[in-house]
Amino acid sequence: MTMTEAHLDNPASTGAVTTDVVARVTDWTTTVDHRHIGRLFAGSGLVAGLGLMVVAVLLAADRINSSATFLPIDATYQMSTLYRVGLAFLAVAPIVLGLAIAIVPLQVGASNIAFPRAATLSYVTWLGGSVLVVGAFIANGGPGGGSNWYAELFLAGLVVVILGLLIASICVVTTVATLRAPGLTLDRVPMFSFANLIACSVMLLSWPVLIANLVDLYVSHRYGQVPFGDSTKFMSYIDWAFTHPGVTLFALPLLGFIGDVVPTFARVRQPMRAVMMVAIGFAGLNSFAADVQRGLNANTAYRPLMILVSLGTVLPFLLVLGLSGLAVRSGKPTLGAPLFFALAAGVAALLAAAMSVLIPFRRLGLMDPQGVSADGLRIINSTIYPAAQASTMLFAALLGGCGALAYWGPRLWGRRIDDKKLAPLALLGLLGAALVGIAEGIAAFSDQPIDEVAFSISGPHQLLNVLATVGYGLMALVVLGTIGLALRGFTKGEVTGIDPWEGQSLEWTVEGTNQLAVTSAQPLYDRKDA
Amino acid sequence: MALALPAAPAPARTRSQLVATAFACAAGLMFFGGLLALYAKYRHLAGGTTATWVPKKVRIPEIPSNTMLITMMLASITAQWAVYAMRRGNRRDTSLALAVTSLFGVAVVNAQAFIYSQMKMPIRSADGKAFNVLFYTTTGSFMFAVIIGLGFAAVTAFRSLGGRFSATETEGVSSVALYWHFLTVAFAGVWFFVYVTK
Repeated sequence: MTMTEAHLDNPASTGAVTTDVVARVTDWTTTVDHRHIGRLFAGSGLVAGLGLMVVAVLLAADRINSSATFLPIDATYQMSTLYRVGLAFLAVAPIVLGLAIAIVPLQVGASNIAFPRAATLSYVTWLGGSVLVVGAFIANGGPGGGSNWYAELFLAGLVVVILGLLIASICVVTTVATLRAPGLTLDRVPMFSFANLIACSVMLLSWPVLIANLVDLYVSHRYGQVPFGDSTKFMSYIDWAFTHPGVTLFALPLLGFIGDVVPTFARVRQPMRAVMMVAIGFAGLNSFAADVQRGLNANTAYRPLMILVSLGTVLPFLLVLGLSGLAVRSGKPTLGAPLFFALAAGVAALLAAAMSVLIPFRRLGLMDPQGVSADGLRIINSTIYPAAQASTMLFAALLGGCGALAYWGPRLWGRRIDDKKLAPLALLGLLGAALVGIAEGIAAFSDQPIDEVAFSISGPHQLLNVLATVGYGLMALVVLGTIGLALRGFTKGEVTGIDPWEGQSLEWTVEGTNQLAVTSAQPLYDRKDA
Repeated sequence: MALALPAAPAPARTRSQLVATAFACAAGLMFFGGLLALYAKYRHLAGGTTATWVPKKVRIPEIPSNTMLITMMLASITAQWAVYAMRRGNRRDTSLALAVTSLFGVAVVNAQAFIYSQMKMPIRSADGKAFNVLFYTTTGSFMFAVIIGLGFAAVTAFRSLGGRFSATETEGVSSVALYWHFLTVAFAGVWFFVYVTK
């Protein structure tokens, strides 16, 4: 008897021929193929990102004329917190982790992600939690919500969301730690996998503390609201996870993406690779934020450590971009949308890192939980500044995610996105992220408050909010454009070979390590040299 | 002439389950660290003494909590005994050790329930103190972690009886042992902050 098994790389085994919708949905939701799980995560994250961008555009537009707002005034705080929580945990985190689940096993030469069923569970858990979080907001819950029950549902949903993301993190980190191909020592691991190893490790150390806060908040809110107060206080206990320095964690894999894409497009080995790895590790160290919770310690931001962390946030991004520049200079670069996205995301992240330097300085009246500093000025943590910095960093991660989709898409779908149509979106994305960061950052210095649309401030805030609205709009356009081009490209686009970019690492070969000895960080490049 | 190729080398052991358990335990320690940090912070804000922190009519039984700590240490030892037995290929002792570990776990849950029943303290504080909520959240979370450990030990014991492990394949049992060591360390923290320092 002859048996034929379809290889995973065969399009027939990816479900493309399944016509029955129910069977197809069942296949996708119970899949143990890491590429399917990754695509589900990333696709869901992009859709969530698009929805949240619409919310952000509405909020920003409503701030333009603060005396005549068009959104219901009692809903704006909830919409603002939905955007801030959602962009981090419902959009960027799943995109980043989804790409890691899909790509990391291929990069390290593993046949699948470690614990593929747990990876599927992580997606289902995250999705269920996301539905609860969004549902809670819609039903007048969430931070500042009028319904106690739905405010608690938001807390419970967010716990479920983070649990799902932590399960995914365990799968990714275990894959890099234990399922590497023979010869692929940790210092030879592709930069994206290394960055995910660091990012997921920090997530596993940082986000359980957030769960602890959420559990305490939930029980407290349910039984007398002592000691944490009502739902309007929620954000002061949870926003450390998605504002500086915790927000850097979401952009860590972006550094790995840059480290993989730039040398590939420059057709050169990455110079000073070890330095880049140290920079990524340092960024991971800096992004641990569980010790700087403003709800717990108002003076945390004034500590010298916080100043060092803020200054230290800039360094890794500078180093990675500098080393990427060195690679481009020493090679013969070709142009492509993934390269544009990598550079745009890197510059946006550098801008966000630079913005973070101002956060701890008391002279500017920053980080006072009472809202007003000693000299009577509104302080920065009650202004829009930290949210603007966090948005810029998350937009950088989002741009990195879009670029990563274009870069590794051919490996996952066998087709590619139209490069010429996608590339301009990278520049639009950079412009959008910069507009949001700079315009809202400046508006903060004229005391524009966070999470509010009706306020009375001095300065050219109308112009700044118009610019911010345009920025959010551009980001929405980038996400929408990426989704559209990806849908078209990955279904009807140009069919590519296994390695359309002439990549350097293991994901660009189906031979895996069966016929390929891993003797350096660029085994495919070694083969060409030989 | 017949030629025979040499046997392929055994594939390297990945130890994925053990590594994943180690990461999960590290996450668990951070979770309990977060809970205890909140407990310590609000205790400090309430004056930093037991008298100002614990409601006046509440008496925290110390003997059951000390017994719990000793029981958790014993559970840790028996969990390691399971690893010791499996490394020698002794499935019967492995299952026995895991059963005893589970028994200790049940005893800890029982002791905690006894403490709750003795304290008779509502979760909703009558005098606006934060102690009630933080006490129940911290100890309740630990109970939840113990119940997960019971399930983990039970599944591993059945897998052991089913022949899934051997003297050279002890990873699953080692993972359970690691989890129970984590529980013991976590309870040591809970015990010190909640039951000793109060």
